[in-house]
Amino acid sequence: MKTVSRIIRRYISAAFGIVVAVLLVNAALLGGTVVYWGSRQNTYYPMSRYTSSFVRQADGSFDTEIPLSDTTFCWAMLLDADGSILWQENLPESLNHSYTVPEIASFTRWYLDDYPVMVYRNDFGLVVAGLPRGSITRFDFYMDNHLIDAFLSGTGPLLLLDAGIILFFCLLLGWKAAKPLRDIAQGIDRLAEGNAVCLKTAGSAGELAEKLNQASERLQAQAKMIERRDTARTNWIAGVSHDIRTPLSLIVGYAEQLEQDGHDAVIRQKAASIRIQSMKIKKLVEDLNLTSKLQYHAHPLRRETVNVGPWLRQCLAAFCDGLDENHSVEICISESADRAILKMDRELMTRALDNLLVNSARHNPDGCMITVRAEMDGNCFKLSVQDNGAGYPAAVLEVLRGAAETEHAPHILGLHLVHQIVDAHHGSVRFFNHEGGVSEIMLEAADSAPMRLPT
Amino acid sequence: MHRDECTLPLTATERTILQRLTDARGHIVTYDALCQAVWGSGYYGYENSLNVHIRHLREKIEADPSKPVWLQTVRGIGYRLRKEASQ
Repeated sequence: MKTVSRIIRRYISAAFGIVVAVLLVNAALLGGTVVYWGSRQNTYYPMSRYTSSFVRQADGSFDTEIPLSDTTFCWAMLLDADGSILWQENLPESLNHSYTVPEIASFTRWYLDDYPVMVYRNDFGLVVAGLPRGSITRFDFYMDNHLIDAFLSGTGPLLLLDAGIILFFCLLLGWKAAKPLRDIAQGIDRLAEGNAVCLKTAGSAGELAEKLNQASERLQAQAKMIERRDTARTNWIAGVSHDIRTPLSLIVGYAEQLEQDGHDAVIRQKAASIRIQSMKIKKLVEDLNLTSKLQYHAHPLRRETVNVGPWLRQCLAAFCDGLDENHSVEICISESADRAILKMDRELMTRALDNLLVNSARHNPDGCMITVRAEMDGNCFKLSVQDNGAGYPAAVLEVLRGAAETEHAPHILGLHLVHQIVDAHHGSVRFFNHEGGVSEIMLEAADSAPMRLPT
Repeated sequence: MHRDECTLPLTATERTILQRLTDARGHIVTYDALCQAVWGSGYYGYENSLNVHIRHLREKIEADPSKPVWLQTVRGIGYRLRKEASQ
């Protein structure tokens, strides 16, 4: 299932991206913080700038062009080479004395009376400026130059190594996460194909696998139930059809007898009517049985090679035999269609054609002309049955074109059967009105891909 | 064949055709069935010959061959022998 692979790829990409983004954000924050604090002058005023602002007055005293209050220093003093104070500003009393070289060396490195101090040379001596107590912390820190070189040269490869390690673990975690998901995906594929599924329920996707197994069991049970129900329904209908045939045959037989031997014209007419209606019932029961079998695939196709011309004429001959004077049939077969050969179930297709013809006659009781046309369209056999009667009602056409059947929808079992039979032959059929009702069937003349009528 | 107390000779083909129609008296027999009865399974192309034999038969059994009463044509399908003609 491609979806799972896509999910895993996105997961790995997202994980890698998140880690890299976090690192970059941290680096940016760290760098920004350093730059920000470095640019602020609240804690550490540039000593060089302050020191270079010292000037000697005409009287030999010293002064600064930058007032102490403009800096971050709380006091400052200028020492000569001997450690004596040449100038001072805001110097605490405890610090107002001369300093020895060791003292100068000490407070240069650390603190002077807990004051962190900054020391800088100028032309006049050594400037010592004190920062507020507790403002900065001094560390005894030094670094080997080799280490600095190694650090700088190794940063790039180190970052690459980090990226590689992150990617490796993302892939590893992704792979571990993908494995149970792939099993689940395969299970879903099998479920979609209607097969049973039995997945291992251990691991991180165990609960999902368990649910899938349950769904599979339920679907298999439902499928079996549906199959049993369909078989039972088909068998029931077949049984009922069989049981109806015998009494119907009896009725038809007696009706024929009365029709032929009866002396009273009224009785003969009634007998004829009984026979005709009984034949209708017989046909209806046969259609019901057949449509049930076709619906539940209980009637396998018995394809045989059939010559179209003789077959069509035989069907029409049988139909015309029982036709009354109000109805007539015209047949138009093209030469190519007359010689065409179809591989079809002769009995079923005969039934389909008969249903179309009977439908035209029955729904035009006052009479009509039924035209049967057969022609070849390339490799496709096209058969149309058209009458010049009332045509198909709109409600019937709706149902035939696939609209949902409602309680008040017309019962069109015969036409449904035509649809089923043609579908079983991988052909197509359509119904429409054109100066009457028209039904068109298209079938392949050879065993190849089925053709479809334009809708 | 007897008609009006006359005996009319039929050719073998005419006899076969008439026999086939008589066997299915009252019902339509297709061109194909008639041709097959006479010429067997390879009967394609013999429809015109069949028409000729039908015409000859009508000349023998119909009062007015151009307006057949007994041996009826069902256009495009075949022929039908009316039931009473089986006598």
